[in-house]
Amino acid sequence: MSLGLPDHLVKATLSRALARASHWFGLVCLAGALFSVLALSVFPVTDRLQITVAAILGMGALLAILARWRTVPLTIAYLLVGALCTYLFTSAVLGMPGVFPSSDMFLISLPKMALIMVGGAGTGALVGVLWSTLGFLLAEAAATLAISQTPVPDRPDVFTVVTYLFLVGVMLLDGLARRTGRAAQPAIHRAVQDDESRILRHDFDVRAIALMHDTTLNQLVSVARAKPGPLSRGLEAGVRETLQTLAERDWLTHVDERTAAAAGNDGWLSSAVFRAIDRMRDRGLVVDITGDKEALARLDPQSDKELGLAVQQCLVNVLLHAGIVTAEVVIDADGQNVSVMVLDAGRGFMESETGNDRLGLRQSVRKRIERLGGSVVIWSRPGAGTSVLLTLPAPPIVPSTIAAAAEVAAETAPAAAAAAAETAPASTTETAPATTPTDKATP
Amino acid sequence: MTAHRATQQRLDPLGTLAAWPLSPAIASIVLCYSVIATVLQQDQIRNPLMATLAVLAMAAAAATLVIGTQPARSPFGRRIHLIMAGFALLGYVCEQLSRWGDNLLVQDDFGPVCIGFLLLALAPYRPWREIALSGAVASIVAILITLPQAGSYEVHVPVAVYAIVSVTQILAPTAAGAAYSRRIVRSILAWQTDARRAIVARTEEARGQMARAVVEQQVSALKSGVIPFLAELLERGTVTALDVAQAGQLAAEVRRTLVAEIDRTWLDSVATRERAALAERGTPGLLVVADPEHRATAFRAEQRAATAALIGALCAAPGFDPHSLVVQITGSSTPTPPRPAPATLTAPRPTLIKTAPPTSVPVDTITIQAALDLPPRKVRALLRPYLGVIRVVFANVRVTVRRPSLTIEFDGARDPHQVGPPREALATPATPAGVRAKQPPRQVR
Repeated sequence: MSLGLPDHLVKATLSRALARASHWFGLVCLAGALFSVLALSVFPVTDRLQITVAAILGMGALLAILARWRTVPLTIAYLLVGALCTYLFTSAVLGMPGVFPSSDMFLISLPKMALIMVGGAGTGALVGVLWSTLGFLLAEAAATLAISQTPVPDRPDVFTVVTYLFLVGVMLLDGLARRTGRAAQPAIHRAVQDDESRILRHDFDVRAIALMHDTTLNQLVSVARAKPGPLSRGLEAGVRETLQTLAERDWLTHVDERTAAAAGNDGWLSSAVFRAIDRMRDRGLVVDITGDKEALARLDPQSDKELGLAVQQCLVNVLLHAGIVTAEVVIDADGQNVSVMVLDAGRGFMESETGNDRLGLRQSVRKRIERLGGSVVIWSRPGAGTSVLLTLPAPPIVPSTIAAAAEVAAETAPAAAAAAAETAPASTTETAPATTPTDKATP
Repeated sequence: MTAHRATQQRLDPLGTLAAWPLSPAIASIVLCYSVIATVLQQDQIRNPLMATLAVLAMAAAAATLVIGTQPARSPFGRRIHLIMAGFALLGYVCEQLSRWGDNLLVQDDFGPVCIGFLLLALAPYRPWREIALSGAVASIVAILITLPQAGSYEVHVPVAVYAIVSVTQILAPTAAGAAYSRRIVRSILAWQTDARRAIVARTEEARGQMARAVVEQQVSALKSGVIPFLAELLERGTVTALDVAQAGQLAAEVRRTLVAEIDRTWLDSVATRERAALAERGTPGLLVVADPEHRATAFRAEQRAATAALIGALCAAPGFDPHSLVVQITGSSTPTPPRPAPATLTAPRPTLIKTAPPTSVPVDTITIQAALDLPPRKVRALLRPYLGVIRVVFANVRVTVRRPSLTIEFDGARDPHQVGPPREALATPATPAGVRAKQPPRQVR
C-alpha cells in the first residue's frame, strides 16, 4: 500500500532515520579505528595502546547507547569522551616515530568523523546541525592539540570537513525542503478511505439486489404469469409477503444485521465534532473515539458548530506540536452537560509558557467555549502529553422531542409497510409455506 | 509487500520525491572526485587507458544513479541497482589496475569513496539488505585488490591498515544507507498499520449510515412503482389483463436496474462521485468510463485508490474542462491464447518483460484522457505526486501533454496467483445463483 507518511510525522520519522544512519556511520568509523590501532600494535610501538583501545571502546559503547536513547546528557557525554578519544588516538598513531609523513591521514579522521555523527541526536534539522558543528569543532581542537605535540606537520583534514559538510547538507535538505505535493498526501489517504467505504457499500448493494431479486422481481413475474381473474391463494400470500418484506426494518436486517441490531440513530455522524475529527483523519491523524457519542445530538446547532471548531483546533495542536500518530477523543454526558476530552500522549507543554502567538488554545478553544457558557480545562506537562476537557451545557432531550422525532420517522415510512403490518398477524401462518413456491417462480 | 523487499520509494513515493535532489548531488560529487583524484595523482598512473576507463565507468555509475532515481522512472529496481554497483566496481578495479605498482596511498584512491557514496544514495530506493550486501561484496573486492599491492605503499605500516582504510571508506556510508533504509521502512510500515486500523474503524463508524442509504435508495425506487402496484392488487383481489401487462413491464424495468447495478464497478462509483463534486462546484460535467469488459474489478485496493486519487486531482485541477474526462480500460485477456499486444503497449520496459510477460499474465491498460488548459510544465508539477504513486502500483506509465490535451496511460499486470478476477457466472436475475450467495463476493461481475 502506498499510504505515505502524513505531514506531521515526516519530520520526526526522517530525523530518527537520519540519526540511525549517522550512528551506524560513526560505529563503522570507530570499528575501523579500533582495528587499525590493533593492527599497528603488532608493530613495535605506542606506549598508550591500551588506553587508546579503551577510549575507542568507550566511545563506541556511548554511541550505541546514544542510538537507543537520545538524551542531551548522553550527547554531551559522547562529545566529551569522543574528544578525549580523538586526542588519544591521534597522539598514539602520529606519535609512532617516523611512520606517518603528515597529519592528513584517513586513519586520523576516523574518530573525528564518528564525533561529527553526534548530529543525528537532534530532533530537528537545525538542532542536529548545531550538535554536529559542536562535534566538528571539538574533534578539530582535540586533533590539533594532539598533532602539535608530535613532530608530524599539520595539514588540513579534507575527509572530516567533507563528511561534516555532507551531513549538514543532508540534514538541512531533509529538514527545510518543503515536501512536494503536500496536498496530495491527504488526497491519497482520502482515496484509500473512500475505497474501503466503497467496498462495504458494494457489499450492501449486492445484498439489497439479492433481496430485491428474491422478492420484488419474483413476485412481479408471478403476477405477469397469472391468469386474469381473482387472485389465487398462493399469489395473494406471495404479494402480501413481498410487501411485508419491503418494510424498511426487514430490509435493513437483510442488508446489514449489525446496523439493524444497533439501536439509536446517527446523530453523531452528522455532528460538527464528527466532521472535525473526519477532517483531521484525512490529514493522517489516527483518532480513537470512545464514550457516549450520541450525547452530541443534544447540543443545539450553535453549540455543536462551536464545539466542532474547538475540537478541530485541539486536534490541529496535536498534529502541529505533539509529534505523534494518535489522539483520543472521549465523549461524556450527564444530566446538564456534554463534555468532550481530547487526549494525546505527545510532547506536552506548560500553558503559562506558551507565547502570545499561540492563539489556538486561547482564542479558538477557550474563548469559543466560554462564550457559550462552557468551560475548558487543560492538563499538560512537558513529556507527559496533553488533555483538554471541553464542557458545554446541554439540557437532556425531553421525551416529547423523541416522540416527535418518531412521528416524523413514521410518516416517512412506506405506506405499504404499514398496510402490510396490519395484515401481518393474520397471515403469518399462511405466508410461511408460500415462500417456497415464489422462490421457484424465477424466470 | 513483504518487509524484506520494502523500500521507502515503494511505501512512501511522495516522501521519496522530496529526497530526489540528493542523487544528482551525490552523482556530481562522485564524478568530480574521480576526475580530480585522477588529475592530481597522475604521477602514480602507469596505465592511462585504464585510468580513463576508470573515470568513464564511475561516470556511468553516477549516470545510472541519476537516471534510475528520476521520478519519471520509478521504482528503482534491482536490475538498475546491479548495473550501478557493477559500473562502480569496474571503475574501482580499473583505477587500481591503472596505478598497479605505483600506488602510494590507499586513502586518496577515488574508488572506495565513490562506491560508498553511490551505495549511500540508494537508501531511499533499495531494501537495506541489498544495500548492505552490495557494501559487503565491494569490501571483499577492496581487500582482495589492496593486499597484493603491499609492496608499493609509501607509509610503512602493516598492510592490514591499508585494507581497513579502503574497507571503512566503503562500509561507513553503506552502513549509514542501510540503516536509514531499514529504519524508515519500519517507521512507515508501523504508520501504515495504524492507518489501516484507523481506516477500518472509520468505515465501521459510517456503517449504519451507509446501510440505511442503500435501503433508502432501493425503497424509494420501489415506492414510485412496484409497491403501489402490488398494494393495489392485493386490495382489489383480482388480476386483470392490464395488471399482467404492467407486471411484465415493471419486472423488465426492475431487472434492467438490477443488471445495471451489478455491472457497476468501483470506477463507475468514482466517476459518479466526481460528477457530483463537479456539479457542487458549479461546473457540471460529463465523465465517461469505458470499461466494457469490467476489467476494473481485477484491480487491487492500492491500484483503485491511486487511480481514484489521480482522477480526483484531474477533476479538481484549474483549467480542467469538465466535459473532457474519458477513462478507458482495455488489455489482453486471460483465457484466450496470447494475442498480439495492443497498439498502446509499445516497447514495454525491460524489467516488465522479465516479471510480467504479456502472454501469460493478463495486462489491463488504463487510458485517462482529459483537457487541461494549463502550461505543460504546470500540468506535470500538478500531477507529479499522483503519478509518483501510480508508478509504484502500476507499470509502464506514459504521460503525453499537448496543451490542452492530456493523456495518461498505465498498465496493471494482474497478480499471477489469482489470474483474472473472480469470474463466477454472470449474476443476473436469469441466473440468481450468483447473487444469492450467502457471502456475497466483494465485487460481483
